[in-house]
Amino acid sequence: MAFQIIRDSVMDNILIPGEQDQFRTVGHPLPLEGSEALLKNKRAVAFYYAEGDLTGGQEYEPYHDMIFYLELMVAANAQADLKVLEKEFPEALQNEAYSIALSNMQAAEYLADRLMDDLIAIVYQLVMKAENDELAIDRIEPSSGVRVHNRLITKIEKFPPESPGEQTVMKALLTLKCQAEEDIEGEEPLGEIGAGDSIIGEYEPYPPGAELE
Amino acid sequence: MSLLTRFKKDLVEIIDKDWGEPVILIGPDGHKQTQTADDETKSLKGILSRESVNIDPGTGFEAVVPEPVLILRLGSLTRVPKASEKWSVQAPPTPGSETLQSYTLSGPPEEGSTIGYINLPLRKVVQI
Repeated sequence: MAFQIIRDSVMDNILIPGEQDQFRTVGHPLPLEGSEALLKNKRAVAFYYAEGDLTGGQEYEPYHDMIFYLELMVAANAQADLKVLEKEFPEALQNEAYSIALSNMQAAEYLADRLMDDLIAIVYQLVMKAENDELAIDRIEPSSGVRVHNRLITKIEKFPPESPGEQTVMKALLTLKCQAEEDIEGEEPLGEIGAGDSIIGEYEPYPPGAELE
Repeated sequence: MSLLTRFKKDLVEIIDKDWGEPVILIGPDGHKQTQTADDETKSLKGILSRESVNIDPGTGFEAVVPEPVLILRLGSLTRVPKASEKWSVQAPPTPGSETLQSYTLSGPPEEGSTIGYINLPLRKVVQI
């Protein structure tokens, strides 16, 4: 179906080539636990089909309003100047050096929030790039016959940071909407033609006894 | 001997003699503590629980996650950590390790103050 072709195109032609070593792309919802194994450079993007509305009648191919989720996850550790905190100082200097290093410690929640904002900007620009208005299908897979319309990231939602382990993990959800026609396989069967049925456009014989001109 | 006194004596046995590992605390005022407050000839020790078993809300399955919690004897501390304070805790990343890993508090300490111990939930700190 068209949504599968679109899903694969976004994964293979937009997200994976756009990683630039800044995040890792996966094709399924991200689990919170065990997040460390999934993250590359502390950032991961999951892309998957979420839901769709199909409209159309018997005379037309169904039109599919699709919703895909771009699920973003980042992880951060607190940061401090460990070269100071793990060093021995003369007693007179020790308290001041350590207290300055501790007051400059950056909270993991703050760093996760900034990492997430950067990742949202990267992914938004990748998907909404002008040349990706048909989600790369027209450029890379035109033979699929799928035409994508009205591609738009309609919602960005950030969730509060969580700490499932040594790291602080933050998630966000980008909602991507688009439309495409769904091709139906097979051919509609024709009914049997009975006696007396007239076929439009076909030659109709003269009634019996009529004179030929 | 009262039950409370008995328990406090047991804590010394369990943490300072049997299961504890040497740890270093640096408070927000920069004071570094390496010895126990009640016997300055001995290293400050705590029990570091490094992992816990959580339920993954996405799958419902159990998952082992690194979630370090340091158990310290209140009597061994010169200053007790409080929520929202910035502390540095240095502890062995694996049992018996000679190098120390830097941690900070990941949440408010949980006190079992009536029986004399404190739990510090920790989070790894990395170099800026």
